[in-house]
Amino acid sequence: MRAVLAQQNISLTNFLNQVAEGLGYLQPEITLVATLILLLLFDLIFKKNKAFGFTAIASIGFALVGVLALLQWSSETVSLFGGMLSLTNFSLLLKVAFSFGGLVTLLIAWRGKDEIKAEFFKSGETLIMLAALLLGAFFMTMTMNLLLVYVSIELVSIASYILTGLTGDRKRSEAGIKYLIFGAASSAIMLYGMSWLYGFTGTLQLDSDSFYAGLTAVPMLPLIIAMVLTLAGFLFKLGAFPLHIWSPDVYEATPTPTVAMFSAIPKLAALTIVFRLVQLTPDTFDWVPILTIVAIASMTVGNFSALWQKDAKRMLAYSSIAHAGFLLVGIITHSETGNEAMLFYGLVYLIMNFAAFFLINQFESITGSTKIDSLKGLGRSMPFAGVLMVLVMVSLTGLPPTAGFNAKLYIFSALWEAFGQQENSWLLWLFIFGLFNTVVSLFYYLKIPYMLFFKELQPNGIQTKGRSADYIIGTLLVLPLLLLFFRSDWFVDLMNTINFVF
Amino acid sequence: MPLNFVLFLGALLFCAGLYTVITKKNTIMVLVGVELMLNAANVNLVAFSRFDAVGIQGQVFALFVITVAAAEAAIGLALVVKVYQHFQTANIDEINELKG
Repeated sequence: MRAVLAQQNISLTNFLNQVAEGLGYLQPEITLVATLILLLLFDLIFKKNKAFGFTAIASIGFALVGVLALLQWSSETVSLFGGMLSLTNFSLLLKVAFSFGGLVTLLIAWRGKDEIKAEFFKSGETLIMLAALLLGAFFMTMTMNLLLVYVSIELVSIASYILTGLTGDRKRSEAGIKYLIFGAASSAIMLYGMSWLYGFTGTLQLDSDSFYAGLTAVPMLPLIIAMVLTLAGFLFKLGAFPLHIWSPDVYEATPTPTVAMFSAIPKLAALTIVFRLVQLTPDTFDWVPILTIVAIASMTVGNFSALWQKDAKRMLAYSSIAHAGFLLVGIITHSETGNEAMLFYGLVYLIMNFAAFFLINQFESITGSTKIDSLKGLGRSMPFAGVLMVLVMVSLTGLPPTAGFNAKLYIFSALWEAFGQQENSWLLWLFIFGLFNTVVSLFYYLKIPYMLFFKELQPNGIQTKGRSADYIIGTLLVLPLLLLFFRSDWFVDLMNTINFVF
Repeated sequence: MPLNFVLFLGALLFCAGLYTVITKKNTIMVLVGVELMLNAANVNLVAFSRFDAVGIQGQVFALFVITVAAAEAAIGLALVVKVYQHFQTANIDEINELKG
């Protein structure tokens, strides 16, 4: 240790000071860990009626995390722990969004059917794992070091495996084992790729000079192989082709609140890691063909498979695969507008998905099923919830008057601009496939409004009385989507202040 | 020992692991395959660590990998037990009720 420090010309005191200073910036993460420990202790100490305590600790904890991240807001980049972490307002914005996601997850669970409530609030495991997942995702948004990339991805993954498989019925154990096998294999592949990157450059630090110099000096073929292998683990977390196969099964089997979390938070966190890796590799390495193939394949596979789905959650799983493709477009453009469009799309995607799963959960607690058929005619007896659902589906398709339209518009215009500047035919193909896929997605997203409003209600004595609390929460989740369509300049101004350089 | 030998051993382990993951039907064998792939990465990391200009980052990374892999294996085996309770088998081909 002393030899290492001596080589880096850092005295031990300096080093410890650096660590202590770094800890000061990690208030949100420390709060999350404290929430986790409190949940664990509460679970062990009290025997009965724990629901209220769990709800209080988790929601106050997640809200506090969001507030603390917001208070740290500044436009400068802070490098922590000798460069291991890099804190920018890009990662802070995502942290705020993630803690918002955590809170909405709690809300969805709280308004869910009885089994979901029991799973979330009877014993502490689920909430503890949710906190661990959030912690991993937080670190994923900041990490600058391959070791930390691996550890934080594994933290998210292991928490997800437990959330999926360790409790519940046949279906969930099946989904859990499939998830674990895919996850473990792809993280092993990623690790092998990382070991080669380490070999090429002699460092694990992504932003160091020797990393850049090492990658410039290496011949192309081994570099491509190592990069593709490394990318495998990130694509697994992103749920993009070819490592998307786990997601429909996991989404179908897992309870709706957990799925809402899976569908947005690890995805955006993985996106930031891909973004970072692409930004920090030298220009001699061409990411465009690799990522374009992944993006086109994700969009096409996701959208076409979604057409035949009968289960709403399974359908949204395929839709999230397609959205992963669209999110990658922002990285491929490699321009300032593309980065902003990607972040805008990511945040809108997070809100849309949480709103969609909230509404599905609401219908699920009435009909007891997530099959699309079970929604027949419900829109007529619950018009308000029906209209909210239609708005969310329109937004997921990317049509006005919703923020989904703006997100798609920005991403496509950034892509077109990049094509105009770079004259790269890959970008043109991406543009064509993207537009074509948007049209395809119309068919399956609008299946839900069709079932809600154009089919007769099944006479099976379902209690369709809506609950006013659901209406209020649903409105609050859908309102941003409308607001961001009419006043997208607010959000664009925010994007302009974001620092995309790490 | 020359570096090439070690890297060759790593590549061999990785390929063997990947082959096991793809071809074996038993879930436990698949997990064994994953373990082989992780160790291939470890061998590489430790080998490259000798040429590290700053410290022994590769060896430290390998230690982390071993720890995380142990946690993952624990979850994996717990899930296999869970699946076995429900399906009375650990054969991946027979665990296929989720489709669409």
